[in-house]
Amino acid sequence: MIGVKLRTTAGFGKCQASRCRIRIALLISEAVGIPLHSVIMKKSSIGIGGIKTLWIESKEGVKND
Amino acid sequence: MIEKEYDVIVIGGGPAGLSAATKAVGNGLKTLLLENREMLGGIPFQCVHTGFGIHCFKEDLTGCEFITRLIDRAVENGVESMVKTHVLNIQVHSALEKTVYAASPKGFLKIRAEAIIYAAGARERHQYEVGLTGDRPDGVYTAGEVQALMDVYGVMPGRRIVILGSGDVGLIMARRLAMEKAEVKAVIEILPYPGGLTRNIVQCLNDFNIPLYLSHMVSGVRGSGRVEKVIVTRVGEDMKPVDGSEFELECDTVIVSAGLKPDIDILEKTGVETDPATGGPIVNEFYETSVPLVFAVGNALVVNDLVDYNVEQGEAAATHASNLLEDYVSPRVEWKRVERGRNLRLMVPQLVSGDRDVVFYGRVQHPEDNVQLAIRETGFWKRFPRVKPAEMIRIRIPAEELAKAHRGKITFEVVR
Repeated sequence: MIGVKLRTTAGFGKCQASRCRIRIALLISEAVGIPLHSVIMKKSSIGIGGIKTLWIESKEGVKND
Repeated sequence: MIEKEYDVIVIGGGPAGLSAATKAVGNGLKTLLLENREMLGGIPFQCVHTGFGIHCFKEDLTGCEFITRLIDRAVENGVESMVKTHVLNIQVHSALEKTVYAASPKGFLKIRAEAIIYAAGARERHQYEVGLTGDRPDGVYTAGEVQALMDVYGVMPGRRIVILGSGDVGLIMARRLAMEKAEVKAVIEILPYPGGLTRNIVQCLNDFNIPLYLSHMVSGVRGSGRVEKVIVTRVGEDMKPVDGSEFELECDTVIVSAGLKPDIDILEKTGVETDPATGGPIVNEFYETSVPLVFAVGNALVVNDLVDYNVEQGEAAATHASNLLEDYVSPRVEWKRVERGRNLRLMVPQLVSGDRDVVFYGRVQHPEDNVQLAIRETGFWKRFPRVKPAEMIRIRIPAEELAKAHRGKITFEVVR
């Protein structure tokens, strides 16, 4: 995402990407074909996973314990 | 370039814009609603919590339910709207001639209109506006952004969260994240009192055992790549950090919830006067800015606590717009300036005539018990058991009371 930012100056404006970060991430995830949460910002991804899948995983984890 | 012509253009498809457009169409004006996102609805669309529409529909609805009703009502009334349309510029030629330039998927638009209702909402204060210093790793978001991320796009931003600022959105996100099994380490507020509503402190923090640090600030963010920890410092009464009170909190996400600011960049270019107290334009009792027949409503005018106020302002502006358009005559009245006295941070509208009843929205500077909101010139007063900066004062002042004030100004003040 930093590449898109530096090439287009998106996110350089008044709200400092608080509104367009998600939009850029959506465009990247569509173009590259990866899930939204795995889009990399500078060095880390925008999220750690989908809410629902994480919820199910954590539930299963509890069951296994 | 596509050229169009309308009576009224409403900019912004949130609660204020939708209700303004619905009302304008109901009053027989040819109206176009422009929205920049993919769908109408604005911010309530991403709010899965309740608390919407208590005054407006007399029901406690979630943001999504509330906005769906407003959208349905707009569609039933035949409001013409365009989504994914970003307004680039507004040109004002004369009182009744304006041109709006916008970019849409269909192409570049040039729309002529007589009146414009500006309801583009607010933007969030970001990390650099609250003086968040230190490294610049990934993982610093604003509260509304996290809300959209989680509740519209279903992405979990992180596991260990620190929330900076105790505004309502921040508190609600603390609860939302706690529900999704994130570990909310702390909510940190620099002021000695919380910025959000009492009900949100109880329901969001106390019920989920989330610690609230009042009179604390984040003096540094540390991390390479992702946020690794934040350094928290206690602040003294002079708002300066106290030496030796630092402690660290490990986290992977920092959420900034430092309040909202009216987003009026495009409006400012038309040369409207702005009020530093609200961050929005100065408006008269018709919600008209200093540019004739350009109206500002909703959070673009003043950051409202309740969505019902936005709806109310939108509808009022549309009604006034249609009345004014019916028989437009240029300089109409001598305005009386609304001044702010003791313990009042803001008051909207800023100009009144005294010809009609006016609903005022105000906010105090600091909390106080058992006070009166008074008008110095007329001796009017109303008692309030408690006033807080987090809770807006809404008060209707009758026309005869406003007419009593001579010398062109009306001073509101909070007195004990």
